[in-house]
Amino acid sequence: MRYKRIFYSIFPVLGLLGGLMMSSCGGPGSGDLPYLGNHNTVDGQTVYHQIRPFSFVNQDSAVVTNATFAGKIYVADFFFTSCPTICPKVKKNMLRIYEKYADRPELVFLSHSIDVKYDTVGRLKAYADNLNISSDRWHLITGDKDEIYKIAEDYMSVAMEDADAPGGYNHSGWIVLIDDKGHVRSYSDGTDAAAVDEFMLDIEWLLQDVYGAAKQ
Amino acid sequence: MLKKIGYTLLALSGWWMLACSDPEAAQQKAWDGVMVVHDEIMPWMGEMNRITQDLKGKVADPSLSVEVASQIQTAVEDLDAADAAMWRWMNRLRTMDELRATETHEAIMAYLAAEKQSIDELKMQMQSGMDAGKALLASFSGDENQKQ
Repeated sequence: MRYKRIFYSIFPVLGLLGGLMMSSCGGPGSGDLPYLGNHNTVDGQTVYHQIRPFSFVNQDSAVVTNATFAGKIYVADFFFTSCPTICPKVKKNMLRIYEKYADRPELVFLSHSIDVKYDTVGRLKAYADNLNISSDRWHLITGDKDEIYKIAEDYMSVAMEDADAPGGYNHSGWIVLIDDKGHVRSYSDGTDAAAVDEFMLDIEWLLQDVYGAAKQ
Repeated sequence: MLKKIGYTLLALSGWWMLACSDPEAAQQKAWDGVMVVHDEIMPWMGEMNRITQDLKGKVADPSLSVEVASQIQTAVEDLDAADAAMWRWMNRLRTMDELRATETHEAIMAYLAAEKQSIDELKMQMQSGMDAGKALLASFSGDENQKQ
């Protein structure tokens, strides 16, 4: 009985320490970038947090699923076209990343609109045209509201655990880096140009780790 | 000494009058006032959705009384209405560039004052929807604790 009580009292502390160790040490093969999020152990193997299966529609009315991003790394965010403050700043910084890695088609972008009523495919298309982005590399998607909110928690749970992160993933301005296996590897405040510069170092590292040296 | 203070006061009041008489600065200040509230309440949308989903999950419980089911229904409708109102507001809000291109200073200031009032009302609507939803959910956890 006494041991049970001791176990229950230290269990949360052990869990917290374990989580911290796993998120700070990273996964197999990752020298610098950790695998972020909550991990599980199945049959003695660590299973890293992975983005759940999804199916949305992009600015070209094309269906976008996890398979669209298979073998690619991508930057994800949440926005809405009528957003007057944070989203334009985030888009400006994402555009910097998009342009910097114009010769790396392995790096793609996924922006989820959380305004499923007003951000129609046509409106997303106009927004994409205004940004002058290609739907091959940057998907602006819409879909079922509950699905988008659920997947936002999947992406942003990592950022939301950060004490410095502003509350509310749907207006936080956070951008997230996902590897070719659907694992969250880095995140940044997308409104902050200096933070995005740092984030680009993580992109650089991940590109190198997954694909090797840049094509000449 | 008194002369110096007099000149300083004169310069300060001149600066103050200039700042107040600058229409664009006044418009920007009014716009920023609206945006402060917008940025404060926009992150609540996710929380409203979460509360709504939790409440909808409770409706599936067959042991619920008609009265409680009706309370949940009302809470969900209130949250949905607040969510829809926020999106409607954002989608019809005119930008400063658009306003400046088409409206007089007085019309812009009147428009922004009206929008400030609208967003303040929206804030109250969202807050009250979330409070009611959370209170209902808390009453369920209270019931569950009692059962255990």
